[in-house]
Amino acid sequence: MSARRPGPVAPHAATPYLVAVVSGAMCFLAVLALEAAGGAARVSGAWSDGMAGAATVRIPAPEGRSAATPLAVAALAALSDAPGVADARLLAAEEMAALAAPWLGDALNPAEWPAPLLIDVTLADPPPARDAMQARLDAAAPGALYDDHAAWRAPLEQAAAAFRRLAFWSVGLMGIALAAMVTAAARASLAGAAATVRTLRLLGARDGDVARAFERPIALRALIGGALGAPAAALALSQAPLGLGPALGAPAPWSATLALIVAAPPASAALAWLTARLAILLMLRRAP
Amino acid sequence: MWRGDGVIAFEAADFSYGAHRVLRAVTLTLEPGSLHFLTGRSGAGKTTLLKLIYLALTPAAGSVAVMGAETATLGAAARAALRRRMGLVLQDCDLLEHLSIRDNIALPLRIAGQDPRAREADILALARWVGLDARLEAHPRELSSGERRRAAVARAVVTAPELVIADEPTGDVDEEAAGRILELFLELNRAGATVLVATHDMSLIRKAQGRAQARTLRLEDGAIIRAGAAL
Repeated sequence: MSARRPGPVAPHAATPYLVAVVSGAMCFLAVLALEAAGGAARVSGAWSDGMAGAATVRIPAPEGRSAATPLAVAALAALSDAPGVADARLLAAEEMAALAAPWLGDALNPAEWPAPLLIDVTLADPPPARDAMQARLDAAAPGALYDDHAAWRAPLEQAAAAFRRLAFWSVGLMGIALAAMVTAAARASLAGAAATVRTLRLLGARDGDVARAFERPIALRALIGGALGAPAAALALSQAPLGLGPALGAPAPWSATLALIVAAPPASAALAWLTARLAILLMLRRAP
Repeated sequence: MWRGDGVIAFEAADFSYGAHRVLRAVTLTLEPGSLHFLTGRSGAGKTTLLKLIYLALTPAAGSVAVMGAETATLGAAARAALRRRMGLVLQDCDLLEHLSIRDNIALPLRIAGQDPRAREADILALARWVGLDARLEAHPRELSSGERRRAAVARAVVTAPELVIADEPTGDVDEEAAGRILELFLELNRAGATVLVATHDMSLIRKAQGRAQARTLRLEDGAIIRAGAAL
């Protein structure tokens, strides 16, 4: 006698290999989607964090190009002892030229056109309230404009949130697709083993016992498929020449990718198990 | 409403396949520990009557109660629990083709939550009794129809059920094997089990009547007749 007894349902009837293929594909796509969402979040986070730590004060264009205009000096003085400000520095003419160069080229001398002066403010943690800073500047240097970059950060954060929502919707839809496939596979398995199921029930098998005979192979196939699909997605991402470059944010931490690879197959198997069980129990309930 | 003390109690039970009325107001009580043979010509409704008992069918009218439970009102879990107290020999045997004869015989034990390895000696003794001890590792497709029937009988009695329902259990078996199958049923009956056997085999009934308090029920025109009188 074999050491391990065969299950009450014939393996060919209860082994929907298609579930492994679909689970593999779904885990592959889910890891891709979540990695993409994570990447978008990291990029926007890096940009947003960069902007959140700094502010800019614009001083209306002076008559001459002397950096030490009275308005700039007064603004610097107001900023120097303001709470939440770590440092404030008037940009030099060369720095202004460098900032304008990508749009205006190197030929123009900023000293020859009426550009506003810029004060680069490094913020402390916690940063100052925008309105309080503007009021402080209004009192000391009327016309100076405080910009905490909130208007720039908001669209970035909205874009990152939209990426995350899209990723989760994608994963949800993949789950629904897997569940639909599993339901079809479970129903086909049950129909293919109708005689066996009839015998088991006549011998007193509980519906849960009968369902277990089908759901285990289905969950196992989903696990195997997921275990192949999830690492394949990570491998594809690591090999893909996306050309984004490190400037767009730190690469995905391996711990996060590893967590996805480890979590996706069991999640797929759990979904397959639950779906198969519910589908089979429902069918058995309808059967005489 | 079930009212009697019988293990099986039919109360004016009707059953039809479409327009064909198979059972007509059958009223019947089988007492605990009794041994009955059910006879009748082919198509008389013997299998249908048995199906009403093992809950494969429910009556169109009237009621059928088995071991105190009215079958039409039982939920899935209660039906399964009731079936685990029965031993069934079905006409087409219904052995699971992918399992060995050993595993087929042990299947009711597994379903009842018992470890078949702990009952290995009983399984072997049972297989030896029905003449299948040399075929335990074979699969049903490798067996003759008679051997399949003997395996089905062994499977039906392996849990020592309270109620044995057998539909033509000696249909394809030789006289010696039929005698051994009868002996199994008699032994279970002596231990207190209620046994109901549907059969055409009159010699089987005569042998049983010589050994035990066996009664014969005859199905005619959808009604139960015993000793020439409708019950």
